Amino acid sequence: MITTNCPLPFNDTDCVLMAHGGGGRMTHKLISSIFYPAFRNPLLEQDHDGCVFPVETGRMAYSTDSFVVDPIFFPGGDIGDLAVNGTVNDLACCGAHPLYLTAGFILEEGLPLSDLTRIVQSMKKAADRAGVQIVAGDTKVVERGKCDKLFINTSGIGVVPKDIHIAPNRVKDNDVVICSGPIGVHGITILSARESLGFETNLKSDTISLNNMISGLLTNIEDVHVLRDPTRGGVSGTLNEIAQAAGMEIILDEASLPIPDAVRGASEILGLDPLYVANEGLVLVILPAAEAEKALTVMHRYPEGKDAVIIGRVSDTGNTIVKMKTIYGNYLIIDMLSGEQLPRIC
Amino acid sequence: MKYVDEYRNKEQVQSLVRAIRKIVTHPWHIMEICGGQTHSIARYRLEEMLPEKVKLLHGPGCPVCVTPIEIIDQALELAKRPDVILASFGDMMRVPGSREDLMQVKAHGADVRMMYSPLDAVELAGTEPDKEIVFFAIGFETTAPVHMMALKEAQRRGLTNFSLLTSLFTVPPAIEAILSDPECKVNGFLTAGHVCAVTGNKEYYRLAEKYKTPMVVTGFEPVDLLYGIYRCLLQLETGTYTVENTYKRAVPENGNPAARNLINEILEPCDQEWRGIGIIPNSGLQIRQTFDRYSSRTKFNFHPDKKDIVSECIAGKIMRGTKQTTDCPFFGTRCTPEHPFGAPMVSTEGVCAAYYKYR
Amino acid sequence: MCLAIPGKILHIDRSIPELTMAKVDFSGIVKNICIQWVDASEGDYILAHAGMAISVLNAKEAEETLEDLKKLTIDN
Repeated sequence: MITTNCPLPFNDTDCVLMAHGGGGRMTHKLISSIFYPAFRNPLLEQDHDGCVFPVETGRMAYSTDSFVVDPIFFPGGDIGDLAVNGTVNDLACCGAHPLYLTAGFILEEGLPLSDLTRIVQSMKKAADRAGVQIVAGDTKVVERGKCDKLFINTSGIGVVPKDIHIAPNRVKDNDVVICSGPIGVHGITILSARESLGFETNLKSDTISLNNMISGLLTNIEDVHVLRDPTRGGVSGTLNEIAQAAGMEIILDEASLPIPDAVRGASEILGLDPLYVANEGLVLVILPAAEAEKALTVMHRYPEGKDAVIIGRVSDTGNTIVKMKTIYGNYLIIDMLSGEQLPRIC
Repeated sequence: MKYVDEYRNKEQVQSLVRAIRKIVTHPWHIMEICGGQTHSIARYRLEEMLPEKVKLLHGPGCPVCVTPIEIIDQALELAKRPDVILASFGDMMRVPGSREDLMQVKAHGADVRMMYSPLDAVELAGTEPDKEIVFFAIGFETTAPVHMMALKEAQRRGLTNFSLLTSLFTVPPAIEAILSDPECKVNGFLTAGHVCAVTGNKEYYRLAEKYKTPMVVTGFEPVDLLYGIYRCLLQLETGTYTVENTYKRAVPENGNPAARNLINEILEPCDQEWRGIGIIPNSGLQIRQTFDRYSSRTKFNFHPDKKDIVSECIAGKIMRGTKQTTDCPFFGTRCTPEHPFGAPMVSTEGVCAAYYKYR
Repeated sequence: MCLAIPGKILHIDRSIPELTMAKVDFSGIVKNICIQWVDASEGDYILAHAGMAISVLNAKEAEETLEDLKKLTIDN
């Protein structure tokens, strides 16, 4: 009997190795044991370099987003469902029915495979909830320290129904601004989960796909002008972008802002302004005042819209700024931040 | 939030504004010393609620703003050392030294950590025994105790890799410097409630008497601020000048003696430079020699670069109350939060930054 | 200069005599705060600054200030 003295490489490992990105058996095994079982669908199983699918005539929406959140697991979600919901929501805010997503993974060597599996499973769950399929993907492995555990990029396409035109330049004088739920929850949840600022809270990230509610809204309301999810930069950053694109002034009403107590508490102690804190399950809807009540009724039917309220209105003053009417009745300019909002003690 | 919401009450704000309007007959300049109060005043737009005769001047009570550029350069130099982890509050991260700021040196590989408390830096010193942990300890009398607590805790744990790069200021000498300026316009002061919570009010009696100027201990919420302004105006209109405490829920007459003892045990007064103002005698706190193994200045050698100082900034005059932000030709044009010329545009609670944000 | 926020002490940990710590609730978020230099009990509200309590809020004084303010409201 011939024996070999050469040591054989380990085939079983509980974490990501450089070899998982080498394109050989290990790569294949990673894909077939973790990604395929979760994302299984006929388009993915074409086993091509890409996937081929028929298109409808009309207009499509196409969007992409990258996710680098730290920590990768947090109360209410993880980087996986965030990556799916983020791109689904971007498509939905274009007025589209999201159809297909692609997912690109950059994995740091040493990432536990159990973490990867958990994240892929939550992507699958989020995709199912949103009714989208993940039809193509890519995996790269980088050396330890070259990325932080894992980064995910998702791109997606969707079909925009005829007669739906969502764009910031459609904003009109006297439109109202509806906010679909509580402000600042995701950003504060992430901060609380970070060791450096660590605090305990019952807050959970609001990450959720909004396409079902948005679809309900667009079916029932004829004239929605703008849909935007106020992620990075928060409500303030997003509204400033809209004000500039639309050439309009947006006036918020401080008394109406839905800011949960825990978000307020954390914001007070860290010296943050909730209006600049990121959200992941929120949409700002701008439409004619006459449609507002009906829109609220529709949104209230969905769990992700049950707390929807009017937070402001649009005015054609010639200024392209965001203002807030304070609780005392005077006006404050809500500017864009020059950088990232940092906690302060002063 | 209890002890916060009551002091943001709209009706209360409105009735205080009416009360103020009723008593004011003369033009008055009132200075709030504390940057946190400046921030609240700008955030709630309190100035525009006041009668035109009442002008608020915004004092130098922002440690981020008044930390001299040399000390920021020291922090940057330490941060760049491979054996150092430099930690500080979020406030300090974007304050420019003579060439760069902490965020920039971090981007170039320095280990810079943003922390909520210096006590967290002591934890870090325990878990990173091979690194020198430097906490950039800025602050007034309010913040000095927690820095000293961190030092004590490092001592208790026997940690030798923890030190403080201090930039600590005291308020009364700054008030005295402002009041003794021949150009001084300030008729009354709102003293900083959270500083007084530690120091107590004693020192302010001497100042009120010597300079015949009302000193009103004031809180931070809109109702607190307007109440402080009201009481200050009442003194001015009736020609009295004494110390009054409108923030009694947080400030006992004698402050916090235990915290003060901690400060006195480890720190001693020193002459201190204030960015934009200059040196004010006895207005700083430095680590006593007996504790100097916890002082980054003793522990490390510095090699300061020559720097260029922008002299067009009128920050010093603004913080002394002889000029206002809106008098500055560069405000909002060449001097912005992205490209600050001077201290008050740097921190979010600096007066120019507050005016810029809420303009 | 100094952001200090009132929070309610939920629980005190005196296991290290030189470092008395407390779990403090700031309207829904809970943070560990050093209360070494104030004389506080569970249920008290403290003012926290950069991780340390600098003062215990005085309920009676708060009440009196609000009373004074109420009088002002009636007169104005």
